[in-house]
Formats: sequence, C-alpha cells, structure tokens
Amino acid sequence: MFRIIFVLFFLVSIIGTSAKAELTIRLTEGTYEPMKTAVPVFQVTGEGAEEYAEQIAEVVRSDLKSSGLFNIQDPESFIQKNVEITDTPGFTVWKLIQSDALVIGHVEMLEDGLLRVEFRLWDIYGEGEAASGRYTTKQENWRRTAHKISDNIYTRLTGELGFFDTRIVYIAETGPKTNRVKRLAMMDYDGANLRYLTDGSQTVLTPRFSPSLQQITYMSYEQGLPTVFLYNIESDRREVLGDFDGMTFAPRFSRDGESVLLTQATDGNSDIFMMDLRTYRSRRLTNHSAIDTSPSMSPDSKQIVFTSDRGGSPQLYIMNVDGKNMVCPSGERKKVCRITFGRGSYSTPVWSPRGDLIAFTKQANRKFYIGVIGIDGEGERLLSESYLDEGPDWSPNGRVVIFFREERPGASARLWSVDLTGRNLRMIDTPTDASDPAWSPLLE
Amino acid sequence: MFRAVLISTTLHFSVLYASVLSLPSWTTVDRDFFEVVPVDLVALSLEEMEEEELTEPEEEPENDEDSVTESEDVFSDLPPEEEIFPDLASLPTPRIKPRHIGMGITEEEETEEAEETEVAENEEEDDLLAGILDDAGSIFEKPKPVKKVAQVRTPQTAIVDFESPTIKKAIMTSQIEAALLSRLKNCWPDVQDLPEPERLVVTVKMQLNQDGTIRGDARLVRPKRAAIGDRPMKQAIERALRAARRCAPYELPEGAQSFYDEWKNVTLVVGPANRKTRR
Repeated sequence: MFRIIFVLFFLVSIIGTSAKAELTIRLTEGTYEPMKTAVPVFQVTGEGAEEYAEQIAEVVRSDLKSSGLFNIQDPESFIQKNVEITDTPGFTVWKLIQSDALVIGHVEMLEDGLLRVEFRLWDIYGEGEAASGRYTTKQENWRRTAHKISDNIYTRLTGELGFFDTRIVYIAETGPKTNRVKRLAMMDYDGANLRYLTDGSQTVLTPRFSPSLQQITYMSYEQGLPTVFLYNIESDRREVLGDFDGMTFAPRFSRDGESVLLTQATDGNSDIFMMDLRTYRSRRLTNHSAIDTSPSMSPDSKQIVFTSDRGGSPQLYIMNVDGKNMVCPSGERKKVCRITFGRGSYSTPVWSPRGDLIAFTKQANRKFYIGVIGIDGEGERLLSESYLDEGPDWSPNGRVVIFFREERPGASARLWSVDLTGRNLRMIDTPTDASDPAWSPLLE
Repeated sequence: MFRAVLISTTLHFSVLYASVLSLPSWTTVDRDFFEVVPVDLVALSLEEMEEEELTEPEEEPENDEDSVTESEDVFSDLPPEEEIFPDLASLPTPRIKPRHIGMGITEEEETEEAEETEVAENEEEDDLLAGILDDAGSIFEKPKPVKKVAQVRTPQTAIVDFESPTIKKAIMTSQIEAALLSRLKNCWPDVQDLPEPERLVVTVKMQLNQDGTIRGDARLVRPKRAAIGDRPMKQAIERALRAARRCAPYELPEGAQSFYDEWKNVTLVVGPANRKTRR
C-alpha cells in the first residue's frame, strides 16, 4: 500500500513539474494598425445585377476605409479570385497577403425587380465565418443596403455598433461673408443624397436630430429674434417651439425625443428650460444670473451638461434634470457641479451616447480645440486644434466626433470628423461651405 | 557602637565616592568612542589596521578637510564628512590611510584572501568595531557611512559561467521571450480605444511547434467567455486570439530549438498594465 502511494506521489510530482515548463508573455502595449480587409467585387446572378454589385462593393469599401479602422486591400493583390458566396475561402492563401478579414458578396436581380444582396464575412486567422446577412430591397435602396452591410461588418469586427447607415444635418453656407446665405441641409453619412430643407431666405443655426429621425430642431431668425423651430422631415412642416419671451436658442432633443432642451434669454440673462413636446409645457432647469446655455442630456436622461460663466469664464457644469442635489467630483453635495477647470473657456458640450465622455469646444491660446472629458472632470483629451474648430457632435456609437472647422481667418467652414482616439482626422465632402453638423441615430 | 558607626560611615562614603567617580565616565564614553570613529578605520581589516598603525601616512594631510576629502574618494556619493561629523575639525587627524577600494582583485587583496582565516578569527572583534560605529552613527543621526562601510567590508566578485546549462537556458529563455513579445506587439492593436480598457485583460494559451507554428489553435483561458452584452470584452478576446494566430509562425532566435521544452507552452496575458476588475 505504501509503495502504491509512493509511486502515485512520484508520478504526480513528475507531471506537475513538466506542466510548469511554460513561457508567460505579458503584452501591455500593442501597435495600432487598421485591419487588413479584402472586399472583392460581389458575385452576380441575373441581368442588371452587375452594376449594383460593383457599386455596393465600392460603398462597403469606402465606408470601412473612412472609419480609419480598416485597411482595404487592393483587389489586384488577391491570389484567390472569384470566391463564390457558398464557398469556404482558402484561408492559407488569404494569409499570404495578410488579410485579416474577407467579405464575399452576391447580388441577385429577382424577377419582380427587387435586389437580393447577400454577404459573408470570413475571419481569416480564426478560419471561420464571422458574420453573414441577406437583404431583399428595391433597387433604389442599394446604397442603404451597402451601408447596412458595412455596419454589420463593422459591428462584428470592432464590437461596436456601426454608423454608416446614418444621416448628417448641417448648415450649408453660400455667398460672401457679409451676406451669407445659410440653409438647412441633410445628407447621408457619406455625403450622398443631399437635400436642402430650407430655402436660405432666413438664417438658420444649430440643427439637431430627434431620436426618432422624423424631426429636426434648429434656431432661426425667421421671426426677427432667434427662435427655436421644429421641422418634420417627412411632412416638410415647421413650427415655432413654445411661446417664450425673448430669444430661444441652442436647442437639443432629450434622449427619448419627447422633450427639447433649450436656452431662453430675457433681460440679458440666459437660463435652460425643458419643453415637453406633448403638453408644450416648459420647465426651468437653471435659475442663475450668469449665462447658462448649450444643454445636452445624458443617455440615461437623468442629468444634463451645459455651459455657464457663473464661475467667471465659460465652463462646463453638470446637474440633475430633477434639480436635486448631487455628489460632485469634488465630493461636495451641490445642485450644480463644475467639471472643467483647465485654462481657457469651454463651450458646446455634448454628452456621448456611451455615457462616459463629454465632447466640447475649447478656446485657449488664440486657438480652438475639440476635446473630450470624463463626466467626473477627469481625463481631458484634445482631439483637434485649429484657428476655429467648433460645434462637436457624436456618431451614434460614440466613436467619432464630427465638427466644423475654419482653418485660417476668412477661410471657408468645412465639416470634419475625428476618431475618439484622435486618429483619422478627415474632412467630409460637402458641395458648399458647411457648419453646425449634427449626426442622426442609426436609420431603421 | 562607635566602631560600627565608623565602619558604616566609611562604607557609605566609599559607595558614594565610587558612584561619583563613575558618573563622568557615562558622559565621556561617547567622546572616546567618537575619537575612534573616523570612517577610515572601518575600511580596514584588523590585521591591516595593526600593520598600518606602525607606519606613518605617506603624506600628512594639511588639515582636517583634506583628510575628509580623502575619504570622500571612497564614499563619493556621501555628503562631505564635515556635515556628517560637525565636531570632527577639533579631532586629531586620523593616522590610518584609507584603503582604496576597487572591484578587481589586486595582489594586495590576494594576500588578504590568504589571511582570510586570520580575519575570521578576528571577526568577533571586527563586529565589535562595527557595533561601535553603529552606535556612533546613531548618535549623530548619520548612519550612512557605517552602512557603506558595512558594504565595503565584504567585497565580492561575481563570476558568471556563461557556459553553464542553467545560465544558457536563462539567457535563451529571455531571448525567446523578447522575440515573441516584439512580434506580438505588432499583431495586437491594443484595447485603449474600447470603453473601460483597464479591465480588458485576456489570457490566451497556445502550444508551439518547433518551427514556430501553433499546434492546433490558440485557446482562451481567462475570462472563459465574455458576458452577454459585454461587447468590449468580446472584442478584447477576439483581438487577443487574432493577435496570437496572426503572429504565427513565430520567428525564434537561433538555438531556441535546443530549449524547446521551455517555450513550447506559451501563456499570453494581453491587456493594459493597470488592470482593473469589472465594477
């Protein structure tokens, strides 16, 4: 018996010792590199499908590339050509050109004139299918279908919701600086399908999308004084929001789309109000002799961030929507908490859809910056810098910030976007000068 | 009776006298010790000290400061001795030349090594000196010189046998580790762009073949899986696994095959250094 125990103990010891021969690598810093992604031309079935196949593949490539997270490979470098939608690709072959992901697509023209678009996303190093999808749609919707495929791929490969099937509303500017014509314009995320929503007879500013995508709120001088309007995209109708004394400006929808936050200015004092769109009753949120403006609601609808100069210079403040005291980052219990203390002034705050960050415009050292800061006032990061960078808004996934820029005095204003990491700063093409962009939620 | 009183008085006076006599010695002891303190003493073994006590220094220091400077060569990183012993200027010049300390073994030191046995015999006395020095140091609240001396007293020369299998294995393992790390850095896009990156630490295991390819597939060890809806963690897991796969085959340094058992099982811990558990 003793011998058996001894032998067992001996064996266990040997096994234990041999199992210990292990090399542990601790990797704490990586190297950012966009994912190498191959998007060959989609396969086709049926007459007329070929035209769409090329266009859809091109939009998918363009979407993924514009995010800065994907490096779209040149089709000329592909070794394996004409992979069918039903085939499993040769992973080894794709590894030779270092593809991380491969998108195989197929477009079929159905007898009733509809398009059926399919795609399969392959993880080359995981050697398996990562995602797939099939859409049947009208031919004129091919572009949105392409954006949806891009969103699907983006979500699968980055873990975040996409933002390609979205719209951007902005102020299109034309004419000389002294007599500027400012129109409300709306386009797809990639600049396609541009529409002007107002005729330019009245100056309009600061448009914002409602979460339902059916309405836009903006400020207009149509009635002489700055006044907040509601515009219904589908019915093309617009109306003045509320019956406020004095001026109203800086509107923004609440997260549920049932209220609008705005600033009302009377007798030189500005305060923030919230108007219920069902009852048209407004409620005062701030009551201070300083200028309080630019409210933006948190994703959980419990708090707002706004700009106030109550501390002497424009800075960002947070408060509860219900007006109750809250615990400030300093540990004190107050009704309103200041979260920015850096040099310069801070304005136009926008709460991230993720909830953890606030984007802002900062003015310091005769320059403007777009930056982000934690809701506890920690971790301020500046993402862009120029002569004039202003008016940030978030992509619906909270990954990208859009804003407008004037690169030098007298230069035309253009829309720009930058990734949250500060990478992929790029100009968004618009046919005219553009300012005050706002990003829509994902379309349904 | 008278005799008894006389004897008692005499005895009492004797005791008192002895006590009074002994009192000043409590206060002078430290001074005496202080005079012995000069750091130079300690750098010597006892034998050397005895020898050198018989010889005069080659050059008599011009003043106390010079003697301090001399010892500064030995303790170059210490403050000037004046600061350490403010009263030192009033003390007699140390008669013993400080010993030069070097890393190489000189003939003189070889002789010393031969006398090691003798030194061992005197070790007890040596320790006593060190103790005295400790006391002196603590009095002046400057224990550094003593500590330094303590280090100097036992100089050691490390002899590394680079041909020994253990050393060879350690060097090769470290080279392999560096090679893998350097390669993996280029395959992992980091997680700093994801929300709450500090919690996104993933452990992956893989077994490597001798040619650096992965045997089978890299497998996730920790966490077992991402919680439902935890997209950042899911993404972090995918990135870690993709990095492990994408980097293969791993290029290993020459000679690594001889130590295959040391690196065939690789555990890869991927994530920010400032790890934080999920809130």
